[in-house]
Amino acid sequence: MNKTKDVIGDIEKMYDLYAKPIFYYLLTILKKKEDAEDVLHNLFLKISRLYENIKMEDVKGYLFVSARNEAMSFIQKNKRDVEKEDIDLKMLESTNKELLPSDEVEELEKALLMLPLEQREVVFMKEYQGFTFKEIASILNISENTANSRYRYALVKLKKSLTRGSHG
Amino acid sequence: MDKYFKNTKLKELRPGLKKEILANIRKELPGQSIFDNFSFVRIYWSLITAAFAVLIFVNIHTNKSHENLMVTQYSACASADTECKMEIIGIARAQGMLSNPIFKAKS
Repeated sequence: MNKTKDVIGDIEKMYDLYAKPIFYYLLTILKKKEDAEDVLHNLFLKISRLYENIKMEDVKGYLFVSARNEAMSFIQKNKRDVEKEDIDLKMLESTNKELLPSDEVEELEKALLMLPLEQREVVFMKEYQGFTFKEIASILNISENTANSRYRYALVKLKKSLTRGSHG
Repeated sequence: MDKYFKNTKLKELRPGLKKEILANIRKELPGQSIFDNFSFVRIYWSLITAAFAVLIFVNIHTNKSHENLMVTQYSACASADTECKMEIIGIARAQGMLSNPIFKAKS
């Protein structure tokens, strides 16, 4: 069998399954579409280099951990201060708004992106990816309790900013 | 809160990004050869290599037989017939057989 073809085939499958959630996770961290695309690109190149060492049983968790590491080194390399940067409004426009009115989606995403990084990534993993706190704790290398409390604090903040937004 | 999360969908990826990523991976993969997508070329290449190996083997074998023949002819020359011997050594030299111990000693 052609090994190169096998690797490409497997990576293509991985891309089809996980590129979208990982891209969204990267957006949650980096707040910029172009940066998230760059990091996603680098991530898949790295995966192809380390292909033989990847355990296929937990490929999703592995991809999220690697995506986070890549995003963090991207932030360091580019000396970005993501917490202080403004939200890219163009990025919010590209959301699929089939089910909720667009202003409500944007409101939520703005509020989510205004959370501190450690809280917004937990919310993303819990709500959009359906990870358990145990899985989140393992990906972020924190305890389950920490993951849980970050999530709770984040929800309180989100509720506050959404209520504030709808009243004013 | 649930209403928000359950009803939003993930952002779409830029069309073409997948192709770009896979093309770069293809470029980077070790051992990637232009023959990978043309297995028939690989088969022909193997056959040609095998044919060359057989030719080289036959050639070596023929040379060896020829060398043995020359040694026999050399031995057949009468011991005093220097001209016969010199002629055979001349041919052996021209054909690169001087590594043979018999011709080496006499040349």
